[in-house]
Amino acid sequence: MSEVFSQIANLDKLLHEPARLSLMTALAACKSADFLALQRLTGLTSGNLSVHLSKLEEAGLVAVEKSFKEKRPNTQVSITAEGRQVIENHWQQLENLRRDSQNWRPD
Amino acid sequence: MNKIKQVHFFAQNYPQLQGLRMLPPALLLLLLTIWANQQHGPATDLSLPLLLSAGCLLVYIGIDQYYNRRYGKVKRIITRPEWLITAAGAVLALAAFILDTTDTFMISLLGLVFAGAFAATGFWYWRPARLLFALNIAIAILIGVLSLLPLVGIQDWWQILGLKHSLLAFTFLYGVFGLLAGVIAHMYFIRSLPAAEAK
Repeated sequence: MSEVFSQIANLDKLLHEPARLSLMTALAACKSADFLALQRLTGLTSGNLSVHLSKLEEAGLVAVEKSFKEKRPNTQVSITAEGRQVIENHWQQLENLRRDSQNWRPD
Repeated sequence: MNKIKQVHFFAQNYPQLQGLRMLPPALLLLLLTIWANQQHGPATDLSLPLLLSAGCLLVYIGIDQYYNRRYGKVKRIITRPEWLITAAGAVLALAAFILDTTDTFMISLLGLVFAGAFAATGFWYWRPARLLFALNIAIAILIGVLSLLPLVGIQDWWQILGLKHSLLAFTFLYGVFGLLAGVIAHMYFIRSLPAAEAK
């Protein structure tokens, strides 16, 4: 059982937060998405979305590109190669955890 | 976990789920079919089809703006198999169209290609979304069965719709079902997106 605890402890805390996990999952499924689409996909408010994106950008997991389109501010977000690797590892860890917990039998 | 799977599915298929985008091409096909059905012999005046095409293009631009401003934009990852299947489908549709004009076969090859297109769309994109998957498969089966009806002796059923040829019947049906699938996909899209957080 202690192995399961250590597996849980090893989960990436930055990614395991539900909003950031949703964001990274969305970004891993597409080339890029703009700010509004990410808001729609995750249901986050613009303030919360900005905060979570900043944290992910600081960690090098996403790339944020700000520009103007038709005189309107446009923020494009895409997952970095490192981000893709990290989210795939995270999913694998969660899958292993699920499998281990299902296979566990009392001694 | 289901929420995360839903986010993944929506991000992966965001533009396809915006079903109103299907409306202008489906409507154009439908209108062109009605126009072609009223022609006697080779058409000489193509101004109406050109006008309809331009109108549908404008409607498409309007729908594109609506989605981009209201729902944002997601750039999809288009895989090589998806390109290949789309290209193969287009070639098959063209070949079926040409063969159907010669009336060589009893069955409608174009109808079978259209049925295949709806089935492929269902399996390729919509398996996680039961409603859209079921709708596409039901349309595929219906069009497939109609394509094969002459084999069981039911001929010229398209005359019930007031259409002159099987080709027109299947472009008509593709247009009608395209409109239906588009509206249902749009309703699914707007109802299934997560509710915004309370501020």
